[in-house]
Amino acid sequence: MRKSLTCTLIILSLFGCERFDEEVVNLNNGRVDVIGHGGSGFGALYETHPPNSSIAIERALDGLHADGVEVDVQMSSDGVLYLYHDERLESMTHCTSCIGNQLSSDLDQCHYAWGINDNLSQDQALLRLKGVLETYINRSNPPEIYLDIKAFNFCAEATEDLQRFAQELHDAITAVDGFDHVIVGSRGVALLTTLKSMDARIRTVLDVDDIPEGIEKAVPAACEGLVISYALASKQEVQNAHQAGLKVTFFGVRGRRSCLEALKMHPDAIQTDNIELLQQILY
Amino acid sequence: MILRRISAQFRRALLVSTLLLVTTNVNAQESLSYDLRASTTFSFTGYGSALAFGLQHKAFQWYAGPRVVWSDAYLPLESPWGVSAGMRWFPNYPLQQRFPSFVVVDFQSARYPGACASGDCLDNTVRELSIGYGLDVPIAGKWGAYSSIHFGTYFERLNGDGSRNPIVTNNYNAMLLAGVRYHLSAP
Repeated sequence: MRKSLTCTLIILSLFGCERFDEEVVNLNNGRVDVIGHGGSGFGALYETHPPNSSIAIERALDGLHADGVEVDVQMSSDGVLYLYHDERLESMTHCTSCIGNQLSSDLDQCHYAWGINDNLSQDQALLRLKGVLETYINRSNPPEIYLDIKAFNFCAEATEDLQRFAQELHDAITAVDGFDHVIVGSRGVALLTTLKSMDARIRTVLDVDDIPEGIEKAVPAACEGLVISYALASKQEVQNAHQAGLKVTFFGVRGRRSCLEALKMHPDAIQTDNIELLQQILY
Repeated sequence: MILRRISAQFRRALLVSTLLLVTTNVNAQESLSYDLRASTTFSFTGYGSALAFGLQHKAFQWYAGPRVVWSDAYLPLESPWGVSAGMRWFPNYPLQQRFPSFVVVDFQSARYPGACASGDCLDNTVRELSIGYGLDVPIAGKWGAYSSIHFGTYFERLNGDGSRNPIVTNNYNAMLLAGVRYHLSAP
C-alpha cells in the first residue's frame, strides 16, 4: 500500500501540470510578457538553435508565438550592428576575433558553426540588426524586441565608441519607426542617456544585479525598467521598482521551478530559455 | 483531451506492433519470442520514458510503444506524448555471449499542444531518428537490461496558429537509452 502511494506521488510530481493562477500586479496590466532569450532560448546542455540566429528568432515568434525576443547587439569596426552573444567569434562561428575588430563585409560571410550540432539543412549567417527590425517591426502586430547591448570589445579590451554605438542604434530604430516595440537594454547608463538625448521616444531598460541600486540609477536616466536575474530579486524589491514607476524583466528562467518562482514576484516580462513551458504555465 | 491524445498514441503503437507481427515469418513460430520493455532516453527532447512491446525473431528484434517526455528543460510540462519504435540486429547471433551486443535503428516522437497567448495554436511535434550500438544484459530469470548510445537527427515542427507555414528545424542529435525487459515467452 505504502509502495503504491509512493509510486503514485512520484508519478504525480513528474507529470503534474502546475499552472500559475495568481493575479499578477505589475505595470503591464497584469500580464507577463513571454520573451525568448536569445531568440528561442539558450540550451540546457547544448544549443539546438544558434542564439540570435534567424531560425531562433523565427522559431520563437512564428513557431511559438512568443510576445517578443531578446537579442544581443554588437558593433563592427565600421559601425554596423550585428546580433551576436559571445565575446569572440570563434566560440559560435567559423570566423575569428571579435565583432568590433571585423569589417561588416567580413562579418556578412560569417556563419554559425556548431560542430556536432551544425545544422543539416539550415545555414545560419550572422544577422544585421537593421534587417531583423525591418522584418519584424513592420508587421501588423509587431513583437517586443529587447536589444541587449554589448559595447565592450574583448579583443581590444576597451569599450566601443558609445556615441557612435548610440547613433547607429538610433538610426536603426528610427528607420523602422520602432519606438513602441524596440527596447534597448544596457549595463551602462551612459549609452542609455545618450540614446534618450537623441530621441526621448526610445525605450530603455537598465541591466542590473541589484534592484535598489538599479532604481537609483534607472529613474534619473529615464529608463522604463530594470532587467535582472530572477535569482537576484525578491517580491518586495519588484514592488519597490513598480512603485518607482519601473517595469521589471527577469532572465535566467528555464525549468518549472524557476518559472513559478519568477512569476510569484509579479514581473512585467520574463526572458525565458523555455518559451513553451512558460506559456503553458501562464496560459 | 489528454486521454484522447494518449489513446491515439496507443492506437498508433498498437498498429505498428501489429504490422511488425504480420511482416514476420509466421511459420517460424518456435523462433519467436516476446517481451515487454520499459526504457528511459536522454536526447534533444530531454528525458523521456517509453513502454514497448518487443518481438524477437532470430537475430532481429522489433519494438514499439507509447512514450512520454518528462523533462521540463526542453519541452512543456503538459502532454508531450509520443511513440517509441525501432529495430535491433544482433550481429553475433546465434553465438552465445554473456552480453550480446546489438545495432539499433530507433525512432522517437513527441507531440504537445502549442500554448500561445491567443489560445489558438496547433499541436507541435518533435521526431528523432537515430542509429545506435548497445549491450543486452540478462539479469535473472526472465528479466534483462539493455543500454545503447545513439547518433542521428531530430525534426521539430512548430505549427503556430496555422496562419503561416510551420517552422521546421532539424539538426544532429545524440541519445542515450537504457531499459529493462521482461520476457513473455522463453528467450
